[in-house]
Formats: sequence, C-alpha cells, structure tokens
Amino acid sequence: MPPAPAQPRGFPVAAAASDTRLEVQGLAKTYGGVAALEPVSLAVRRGEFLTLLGPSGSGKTTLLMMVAGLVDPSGGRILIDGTDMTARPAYQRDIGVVFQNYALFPHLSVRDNVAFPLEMRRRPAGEIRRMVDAALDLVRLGPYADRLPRELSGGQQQRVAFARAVVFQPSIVLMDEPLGALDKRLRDELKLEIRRLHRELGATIVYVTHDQDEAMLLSDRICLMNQARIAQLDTPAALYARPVSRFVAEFLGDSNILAAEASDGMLRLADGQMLATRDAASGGVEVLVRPERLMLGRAGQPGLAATVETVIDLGGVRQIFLRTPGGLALRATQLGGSLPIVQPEDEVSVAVDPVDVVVLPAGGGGR
Amino acid sequence: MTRTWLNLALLAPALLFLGAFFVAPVLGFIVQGFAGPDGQATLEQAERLFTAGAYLRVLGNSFVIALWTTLATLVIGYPVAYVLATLDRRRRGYWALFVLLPFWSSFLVRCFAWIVLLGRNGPLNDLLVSAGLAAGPRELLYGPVAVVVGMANVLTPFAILTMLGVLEGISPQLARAAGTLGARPVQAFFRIYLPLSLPGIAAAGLLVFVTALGFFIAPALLGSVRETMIAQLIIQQVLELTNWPFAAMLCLALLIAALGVFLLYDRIVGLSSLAGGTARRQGNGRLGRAGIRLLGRIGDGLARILPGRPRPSGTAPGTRIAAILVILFLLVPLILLVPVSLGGQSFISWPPADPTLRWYGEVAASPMWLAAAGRSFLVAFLTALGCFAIAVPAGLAFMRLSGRSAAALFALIVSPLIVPRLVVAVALFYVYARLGWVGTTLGLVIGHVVIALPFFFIAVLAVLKTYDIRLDQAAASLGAPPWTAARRITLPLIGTGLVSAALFAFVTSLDELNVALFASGGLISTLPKMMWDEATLRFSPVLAAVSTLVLLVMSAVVLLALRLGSSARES
Repeated sequence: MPPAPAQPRGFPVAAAASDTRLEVQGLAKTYGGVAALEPVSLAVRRGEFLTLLGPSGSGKTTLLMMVAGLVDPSGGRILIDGTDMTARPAYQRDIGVVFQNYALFPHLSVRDNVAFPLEMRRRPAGEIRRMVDAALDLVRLGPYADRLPRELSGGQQQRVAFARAVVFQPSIVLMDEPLGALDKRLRDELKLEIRRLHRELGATIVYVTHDQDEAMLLSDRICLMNQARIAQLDTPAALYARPVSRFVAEFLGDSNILAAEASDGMLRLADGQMLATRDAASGGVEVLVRPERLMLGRAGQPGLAATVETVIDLGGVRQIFLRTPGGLALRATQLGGSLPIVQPEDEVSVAVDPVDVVVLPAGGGGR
Repeated sequence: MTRTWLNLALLAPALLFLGAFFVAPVLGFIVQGFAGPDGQATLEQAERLFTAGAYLRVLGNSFVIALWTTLATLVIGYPVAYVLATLDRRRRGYWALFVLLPFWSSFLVRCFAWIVLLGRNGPLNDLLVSAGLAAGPRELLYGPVAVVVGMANVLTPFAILTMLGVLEGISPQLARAAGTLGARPVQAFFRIYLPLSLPGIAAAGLLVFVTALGFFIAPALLGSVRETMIAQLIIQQVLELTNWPFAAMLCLALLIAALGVFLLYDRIVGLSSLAGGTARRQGNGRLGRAGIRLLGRIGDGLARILPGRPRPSGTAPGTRIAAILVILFLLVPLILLVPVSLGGQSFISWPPADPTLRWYGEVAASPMWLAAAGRSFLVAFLTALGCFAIAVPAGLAFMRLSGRSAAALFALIVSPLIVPRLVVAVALFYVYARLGWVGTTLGLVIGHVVIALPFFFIAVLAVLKTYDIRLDQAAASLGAPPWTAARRITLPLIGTGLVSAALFAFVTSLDELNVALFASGGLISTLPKMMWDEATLRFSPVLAAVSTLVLLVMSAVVLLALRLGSSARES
C-alpha cells in the first residue's frame, strides 16, 4: 500500500490545488417532517482527521451516510475536490466506508473482501494481488488472507474492514463507530492503530463516534453535534479549553458550571464569593472551571472557602467533592499516587487562575 | 425519487398478479351472491341461507366442529410448543423436524390414514378389543369424533408452530427470576410463562379455527351426513347444482367468518407477527388482568397440591412425555400407510398380510396415475417459479419500505392466507369458466401461486431479514453498481434460503386439492384430485401405495428444503 494520498483524479485543476477535500454545504435531512439533520456546512482539509462526535440522535451518522451516498439528502450539496457529488450514486463516489459492524461479505475470504473494490474498478489481476497484499500487511493480517470473516476475532474483522475501505485509495475514508462493537481494551489498542494508519496513509478521514476519548485521541478537529446541529467545530484542545456552550463544556470532560454576576473581570458567585476571570463579560453569566484547574490550599489562603465532602481515589487521579459555606458544590481533580493532602471535613481554600475561568457565551449553541 | 420508482417496479408483478387473480375474482364472485337471474340486485340468497333450517344447521355444525378442533389442537399442541421453546437451539432443530414433517405433508393422505386407523378392522379397534375395553369392533368412523380427530391431527402442527413463534420470545430468565423470588416451578409457569404465552395461544386458536372452518376433506372422508360442513355445501352447490348465486352467498358467509377472525387476530397479536416479527404488545384490559390473576391463583393452588420436589432446571418429565405422545399422534398417520400399501389383499385389511409390491406395480403401470403425477410435478414446478418471480422482488421492495406502506403491502400479499382456499378456488373457477381456462395447466398454476404465495413471501421475508442491508451499502461504497452488488453479494448469500422457500411452494402445490377440484376438468387431472376421486369411491391398496409415494416425495423435498434453509441461516 503506497503511503502517498490519492492522486487527483482528473478533477478541475483549480479544485485539486485547493486544500479542501470535502465540502458540505447546507446539507439537511428530514424524515417525515422530523429533522434528522438541520442544514449543516463544513469543510474537511486534505489529509485531515475530522471526527463527528455527539450523543445518539445528534445527526452524526446521518451526515456521514449522506456523504457516503447511502442516504439521500433533503437539501444541500456535497463537494469532493470541488466537484458536486450530491447526485452521484454511492458506487461512483470513490469513498471508502468502514461500517459499524464492518459489513464484511460473509461468503468471501479476507482476500476477496479486500480485493472487491479493486475488481469493481477492473484493475489487472497482478495489481490487485499486490495491492491486497500491501493492504493486508498494513493492517498486519497477511497470514489471515484465506480465512472467512467469521473465523476472525472482532478486532481482526475491524482491520479487514479498514483494509477494504482504503485499498483502492479513495478520496475520503468514512468510519461509522468502527470500534463500537469491541471491548474496552481492544478499543484502546485499535485507537492507536487507527491513529498510526492515518499518519502512514495521509488519508482524509471522517470518523463518527460518541466516545469523547476516541475523538480527543484521533482527531485533528472535532465536530461536536447535538440535536441535529453542529454545536462546535474546532481542535480538541480548543473544544476542551474554550467551549462555546454549556452542552460542549459538559459533553467533553468533567466540569464545574457556575452561575455568576460579572462586572469588570470579577464574578460574584451564587453564594456571594468572588472569582476573577480574564473574560470581559458583564451581567448574569455561566462560567466553566475544569476540575483539574482548581488548586486546593490551606484554609485562609486567597481563593474560595470550601469544605471537603468526599474524596474518591481512582488510582491515577483523585476526585474531591467540595462545598462552599454558601452551599455551592465544586469538584476538583488531582493526580493520585501521593498521600492524600485533604480529607473529608477539611476546611480548604480553592484558588483558580483567572485564565481558567471561562465565561460561556449566553445561549451559544443550545445546551 | 428513483428509489420510489424502483420499489414500484419491484412491486408491480405482485400487485398486478394478486389484483387480477385474487382480489378481482373473489370480489367479482362474491357479488354474484346478490345478483338475481336478470342481473338485478336481490337479497334472495341471503334470505334462503338464513331461513332454510338445513343451511343454518350446516353453518352451526361447521362452527362446532371447528371449535372442538381448535380446542383439541391447543390443548395437545401447547406441551409440544413449550418443550420446543425451552430446548437449546441444537436440540430444538432436531425435535422441530417431527412437527415440520407432518406440517408439510399431505392433508389428504393423513385423512386416508385415519380411515384405516379408525376402521372397523383397524388397529385402534384391534387394540380396544385385545385390551378388553370393547367386546367387539366399534364404529369409530363416520361421526363427529372421527372428524375432529382427523382435523386436529392435520392442524396441530400448524398450532404448534404458531405458538412456538411467541413462546420462543419468552426469556427463560423470567421463570428463573421467579424461582429466585420464591415461586415454585408450577407457580412460575402459571404466573409468568402462561400469561406471556397467551398471545401465542390466541393466535394459534384463531388461525386453526379459520382454517378448520374451510375444511371439506376430513368431514367428507371421516364424517357422516350429519357432520357436513359449509365447504362441502359450497362444493355441492358449484359442482352438482351449478347454483352460482347461492354458492357465492355461502362463500361470503365463510369469508365473513374468516375476516372476522383475522381482524381479531390482528387486534390481539398483529398480522406482522406472521412474518416472525415481535408480537405487538397490547395493554391488558380489565378482563386480561382478571384472567392473569386467575391463572396466578391456579398456579398457587397447584403448588400447594403438588409434591414439592426440587429438580434441576429444564422441563418436567411429565410435560416431555405428553409432548412425545402428541408427536407420536402426529407421526402415526404418516407411517401407517406404508404397511397397508404392502398388504397382499385387494381390500384394506389390518394387520396387512402377504407382503407384496403388487400395488406399486399397478401404479407404475397405470397411465392415469403417471399422467396425473406428471401434471402435478409440472404444476408444482411452475408454481414455485411463479412464486419466485413475484415474491422475491416484492420482498426486496418490502425491506425498503417502512410504516404504513409496508404493513399494507404485507397485508395484501398474505391476504390469500386469510381467505379460505376453497373460496379462492371457486372464484377462480368462475373466471376460468368464462375464459375457457378450465382444465388448463396455466389455470392450475395461477391458482396454486395465489395459494402458495403467502407462505413463500413469509419465507422470503425470513430469509431477507437475516440479510444485513449494510452489505449492499458496503458493496456500493466499494464501487459495485446495484446489479453487480445483487449478483456478487446479495444473491450468493440469500440464494439457498430462496431455493428452500421455493421448495416449500413446490410442496404446497403438490398437495393442493381445492383449485384442482374445480379447475382441472378433463381426464388428466392433478395427483391430489385423482386421489380424492378414488377415495370418495373406495379406499384401496393402490391408493395406499400412491399415498406412500406422495409422502416419500414430499418428505424428501421438505427435508431438503429444511436442510438448505438451516444452512442458509447459519452462514
């Protein structure tokens, strides 16, 4: 399998030269009056790994299936390398799809499964053989070429599905919850494998998952979806640090969301205590403070006064549940390992760097 | 847009065929019931039906016999369904064979067997006399009991398979959970299992009842004049009296009864459960709740009376023994004719003496039997082909449909199942008489396709349901156009299942008597028709030989079909 990304396939030169591989414009789907996807627009760069992340029913799989040509859009356009593909049937789109349950052809051997797209493209037999071998080597399944799919483990089937989807060097690879059917250890292993394959192939990948860890680990950018819309599209780091809505803040990682009155860089919390922020907002707001950003100190030091309620040791990290005298609940995370610094009923101070106090835009993106 | 057109194209054969050869003929014929001699509308026939005591008596008779038959099939069928449902998968497949073989074997032949079994010199009388239970041979034939026994024998496999569909869906965990909560096995059964299986019992009861209502073979062969049923009356009106309007009115009465029963069925379990879908869950009414409480009391009472012996999980031995006895009851008529066909005497005698193959020789030398067999095989083959051409595209379209349009399509294609076969046959005869199609192979094939289509369609859906539609999507995403995807992926995967379904259509046609009864005409008719004609004269050893051969062929085809079907499911 040559590692270079697919060559432009006779598309207009101007489009091929541009950096955008996939562009979706106002793509929408309704089922009997119910919107499965509100009009959505986004662009995926060449070689980019974009993840569609969201709870079930958020429209991510619908979006993916429309790009693949397996669901007809109710409106909008799909452009690949600048060419309008909206009306093209799936078999002429040149997109590799890894399905949720792999959809390996049960009556064909691993080799024949992987050779299938090449046979459809009428490649010469010798070339097919070479490309299939290369693809199977890439996913380390060379010795299993003559087995039937049901003779493979779940993880191996997943690898075959991946090899089949990339062997013909499609312009885009779509992956629909490819790890959903596997147990956690295998998922962790294959996540790193997919990351490696993406780097090696330089392929453009659009990946659907509801697992935030998968999304954070794999993606160049994450498109977080909720209620048939895009909630936020950004890099994993930006999504985590600067969520545009309470939904985004809560979906990714743990969070403290506090109601506050803002004026001149100071926030008055519901219990009357004050907290500094770099955000220049005023009026009633909601602020996000990530638990690992809370720094606990001895009572009386600068910061919020609070009492420790519960300490949960998870091995790698330790979760500390706190309550302020005014009744506000807070949650802090520390790295585990060392002796506990705090114990239940300790009086502590909670300091936060003003940079880490993020004011959530009012009404941004829904909740 | 294009998808809609594709669906319509796939549905067209089914819609046109059923429209032309099922809906239109049946409606067109039923209307005759209200037509006077000059074509004016009249209620004369309805009046006749309800005023002449003889007809009402036949209607009443039919209901009573159908009711007893239904009760019998449910009572003896339930233990078998229960045992099958609680077995593990591998052993269930093995045991199910003993239900499926009788289910798919010839109605006609099994009724013949009962003539011998219950005859004055038959095995049962032998047994009674030698056991000292009777002083001399008794007249067991030609009475209501013989008719109910024969009909129950034929319909019990049907009841078992219907109940099994629901019983299989009841998780064995539930009874175990009841056990951990302190219920004795008998309590767990009456409080948990039985209430959950009620929809299955209701479904089986309704289906058996409506099928029994349209029977004529068993009452004609095993009953006396007093057991005449409505179907026999219809045949008499058509064939002997050529009284079309009154025959149409009788058909309407039968049809209304059948439709009423199916509406009930749809309310209770939902028609889609016929295709193996999950039974629709209905909120239990006040009556249902009272019934469930009553069952609970019965279970508690039995738990107090019965000795409390702890036993390992599984079915109680008593239930198993009951199931085995029922299965013997189902199999005996299939086996019995083999020795009879080998008997040396020129009349039916028991026990058969002087073993000989003479009767088989007579069959082989008879141009009549050979021609009938040839025609039956030809018709059955063409019927299977016809079903294939109509139902496979319709099944593919059905998988893409959803909601109301899917339900409507399903109802249409299985509707020949709802209308008694005899009504379909008479209505087609009425049309054929005008078209000059009576006695043609085409006429027979069309009628058989109408009758076999629901079974075939349901089997096709079962095959398609095991097929993962994502494989088609995967093929498309990998560059396969629809036809290539169908040829390389879909057909290789479902082919065996479809062939299996076609074999069942073949068997259905091979045993179909209703259509041939009217539409075969001429001298060369189908095998069942010729067997029927022979049997109404005299049950001879030759007929036993033919029956044995028919059973062998049908069993072989059914075994092959089951084998193919299960191998298709495993892959």
